[in-house]
Amino acid sequence: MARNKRSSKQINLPVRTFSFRLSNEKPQEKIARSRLELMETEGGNLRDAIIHWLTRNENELLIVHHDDVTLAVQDAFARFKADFFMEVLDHIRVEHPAALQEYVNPQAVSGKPVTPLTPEFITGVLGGMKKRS
Amino acid sequence: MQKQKKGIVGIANYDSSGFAALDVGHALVKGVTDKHWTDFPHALMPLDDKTWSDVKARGVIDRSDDYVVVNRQPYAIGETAENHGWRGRLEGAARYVPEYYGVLAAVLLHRLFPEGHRSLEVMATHAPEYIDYRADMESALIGRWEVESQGKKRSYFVRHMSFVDEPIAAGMNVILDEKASGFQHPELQSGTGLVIDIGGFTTDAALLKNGVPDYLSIYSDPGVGIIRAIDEFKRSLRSRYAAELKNSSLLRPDKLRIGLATGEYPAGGYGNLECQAESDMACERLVTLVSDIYNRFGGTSDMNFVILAGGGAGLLASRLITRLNHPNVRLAGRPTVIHMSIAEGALKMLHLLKQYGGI
Repeated sequence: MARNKRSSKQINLPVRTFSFRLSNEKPQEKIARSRLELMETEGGNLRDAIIHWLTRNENELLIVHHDDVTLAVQDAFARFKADFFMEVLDHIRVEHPAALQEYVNPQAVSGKPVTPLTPEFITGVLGGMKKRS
Repeated sequence: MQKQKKGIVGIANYDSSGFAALDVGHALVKGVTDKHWTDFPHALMPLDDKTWSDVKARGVIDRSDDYVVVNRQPYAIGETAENHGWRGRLEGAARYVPEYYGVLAAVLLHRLFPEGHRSLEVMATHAPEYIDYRADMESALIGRWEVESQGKKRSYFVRHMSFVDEPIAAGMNVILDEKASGFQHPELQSGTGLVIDIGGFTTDAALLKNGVPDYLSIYSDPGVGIIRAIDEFKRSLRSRYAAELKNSSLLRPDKLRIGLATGEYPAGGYGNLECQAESDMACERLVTLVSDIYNRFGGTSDMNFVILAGGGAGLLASRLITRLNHPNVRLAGRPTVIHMSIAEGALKMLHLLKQYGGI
């Protein structure tokens, strides 16, 4: 069923498994495959776990629906802005929690300094917009 | 007032609490504000008195926000309308009437503004081919709306509307930061980029030159879209699994989307039906059409970067990247919510317009 790419570096740390329903379907119609399973270490962080997973699986596209995703997961997705593409998966596991610390770096996933807009850009965008209206 | 480089002055502090960007696409209806975003499948079914009474008697309206009353007329929307066998899709400019576009937009506003709002500024997106119908869109939405769902009745007043072509909004979602106060990727401010927006029925494209949209380059191909790929997938799926699906007069659109995306169709008691070949065939045809559009603009040798947008980009991204063979292909938004990128970009343009355009 799932085209799940599992790491060969799995570490047997104490874990808790989180399950999320990731579909717009109603609970009673939920299909078992629409789940996101993540393992969180005692000292870990769910958001960072997701960021880690996304970062390490650069050739796959994750398609999820938002309705049932917790705030923690949404936050992780919001902060993750790397440009890569992944294939559709329906099962996800973070299997290398020890590597999470590499990615718990706010500068790496958010907070770039703002580069101010230029007059040429502003007039180009808004001028063209007005001409087209 | 905040002073920008070379004396360009923008409004630094303004009230954006009534800002909304709406993208009423052929497949999904999407809306976004500074605080919330929402989407639902493009489906709207007016309910007659008897059906509405039946629905109320079953108590469903208290549990589902897919049942709404807009200006006293009850409707089923989204998946609920689809599951009722909705067939009333209006296409093209015929959509832009109050009882259709207006109602869909009003439902979006109801989900986006939990307290109602008396003075809304809306940035609406449209496919380039519908630019001549902006006045119709305005007539369809400007004014007062009363929306009730799950016992919550709220009113909205849409005061002003602005418009932007969908590929332009998608491009700006990449170029601009969240409140349109700066560039998100300064490296894209030089060279030429191509935005390709793969929608339900239409694929649009536009060039960015040094980060600025080239409005004269906007291109629209109404024959290329993800809905046709889904229809083709549905036909081949029925052909392969004729026995399993013979009693299913309606294959649910949400399941078809899953099947096309994953290569496995969720068939209830039959489990997941393997359909990778059918998915590949439907997707590859669309990928070919999209890559034709890419080559029309000059292809890899003329582009410094490519931006993929629209719901189709989410389904086709990996295949397209292989086909386009360009080292700098980006999605117009976060991979998980790529279908929201046009509405998000439109909201950024509303911020830009407010700061520098004097709305």
